[in-house]
This record gives sequence, structure tokens and C-alpha cells, in this order.
Amino acid sequence: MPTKPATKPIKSIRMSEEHQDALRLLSAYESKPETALVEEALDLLVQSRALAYRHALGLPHEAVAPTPETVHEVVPRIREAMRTALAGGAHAPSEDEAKSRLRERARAAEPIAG
Amino acid sequence: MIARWPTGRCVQDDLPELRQTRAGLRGFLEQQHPAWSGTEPFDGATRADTFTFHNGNGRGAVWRDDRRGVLWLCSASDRHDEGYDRARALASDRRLYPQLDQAYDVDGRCATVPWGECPDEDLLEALRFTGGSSETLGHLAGADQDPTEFDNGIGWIRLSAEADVWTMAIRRNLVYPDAASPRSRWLTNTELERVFVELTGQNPDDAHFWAPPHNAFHINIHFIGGPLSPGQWLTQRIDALLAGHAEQALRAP
Repeated sequence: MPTKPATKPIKSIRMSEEHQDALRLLSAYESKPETALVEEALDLLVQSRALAYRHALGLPHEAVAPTPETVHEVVPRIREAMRTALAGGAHAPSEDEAKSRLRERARAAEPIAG
Repeated sequence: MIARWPTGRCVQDDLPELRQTRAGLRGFLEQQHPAWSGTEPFDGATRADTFTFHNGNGRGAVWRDDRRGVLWLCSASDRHDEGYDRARALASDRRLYPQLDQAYDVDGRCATVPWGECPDEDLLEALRFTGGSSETLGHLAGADQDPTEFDNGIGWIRLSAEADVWTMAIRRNLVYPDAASPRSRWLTNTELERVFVELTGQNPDDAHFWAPPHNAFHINIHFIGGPLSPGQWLTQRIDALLAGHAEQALRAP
């Protein structure tokens, strides 16, 4: 998804020396502004959560199975679903909650003969 | 579509001991259809549709898995009586049949358990992912043809060519219908490389892997030379199996 250059600072973030160094290096190595890298990284972070959050957020199969042409739709859909979830008082499931869901599924599966 | 393959147990325990039957196994696998005829039902079977396997003096057992449309080679030996005795012992130890997802979704055509819990389910799915891709993508001859895609509802690969440079785009996640969501996962970098190797026969060091910006879902691979044909893909998989390399492109994390 193409990014628009920021016109004004909207957030001040304290970052560790190590991550500042990584940002400077990446910016130099890829010849990209630091802002563009942070925006790109945020998109990737949200996308990387897609499989984990899909069920809790009630997203359909297609929402996390994009083609290169539809991948730009993923982050807005997840953001909107997160906004709705937060408005309803819901948060991301913890690892323990996710494991509980797996165990419930395993218990619900009916064995076949043989 | 892969419709015949040995179980993981058969590959691990039986295959290394096979000499005379090894050539017969190649012939068995070159015929990729699940039908089986000409041998009698196996008398040690604990499931329907289990038959004896014959190759020269060698004996074993096969099971026709109608849910998945696959004929599993469950047991094989170079010797006649010992081959049957071994298959009976395995059946009695509940080790004869493949380790499969009991909740396999016939309508959705997919397993439901997380990867790693049912190794033979994973093995079959991995083979059908790259084998199905090869059937779809392997017919693309060059830049004068439109890009082509493989999409089995779980994984996705696109192949295109521009002049002499080919581009393979692989979606990095496997995503299942809702009922099977615990099986959804991201492919590792090693798996992505192995998918590329299985479909092209090329060394990944000779290709250029790059990630498109703002897109964690796909990896793009530029390479020279084009894909393997479906026949070459199958031959490569059988050669690797008979050489003792049983690992598939996709595997449990």
C-alpha cells in the first residue's frame, strides 16, 4: 500500500538506542525516509496478527487470504474490526485463551471408528 | 493430484529395508490413482478397503482412503510370509494405518487439527499443495502466456514470466475455512524456499527473493529457467523418497 509523506509530526515516540540504530541503518540501506519505514512496519505488524486475530474479530476466510491486488484491504478491515471489538469491551485473546479454544475444539471433535 | 503414497511409518521403517520391492514401489507411485484391484482383502485388516500389496515375492498392505481419494501403502516387505506377518502385527499394534485427522472435513477438503498432530495428514497436504501447484503452473511455457495461479482454497501461488525472467509469488500463510482455523499458520522461510525448489528444481541461491512493501502475505521470487512440468515434479518426489529424503516442502513448524 503506498504511503503519503507525513505533513506534520503527529506522535512522539521514545525508542531504545538499539531500535533507533536499526531505523537509521534501514533508512540508509533502503534509501527510504524513517517515517515510511515505520508506516510500512506497522502495516506488516497488523498483517502478521491477522491469523491470530481473525477468529476473535469475526473476520471471514477471505480477509486473511489476499492476493497481491487485495492485500491493501486487509489492514483497514482488521483496524475496523479492532475498533468494533474495543467498543464492545473485547481485547485480543491471550495465549492461554487461544489454547483453551484449541482444547475445546479437540474435545468437540467426534472420533470415527477404525 | 497425489492419490498414492506410503505412510510415514512405512517410509521410516519399511523403505530402508526394501531391495527387490523398491523398483515395484516406484511403479506403484508412478500410477497416481486411488483405484486398486487384482489382490485380495488383507486378512489382518481392521478397516474396510484394506488389500494385500504384491510385488514379486514382496508383500504388504494397502488401504484405500475414500474420504481423501488416496491409496496408502501401509506396509511393504521383500518377503512373502514375513510381509504379511508384519502387516498383521502392525494392525494389531494400531500402527498399520496412516495417522490422519479424524475430523477431516470432506466438504471443505481439509484437515482441521494443527500441523504436527497428524503427520500423514500433513504429508498428504504438503504433496497436494506442491503437486497441485505443479499441475497448474507447470504448463506455463513463457512470457507469451498470461500469468497463472494455483489456489486450493488454503494456499496460493502465482507464476508469470516477462522476457526471460520468471516471477513466482507465494502467499506466506495457509488459511483454512472457519471450522479449521487452528490449522491456519504462516509458512517459515525454509518452507517457502522448499516450495520454490520443488516447483522449479532450482537452487534458491540462484534466485532473488524479495518482499513487497506493505505486504506480509506474499514473497516474490525472480528466477531464470521456468517451472518443472508436473511429470518432472512427480519423478523428483519419487526419486527423493526412494533416496531416503522423505521431507516435504510444508512441514509442521
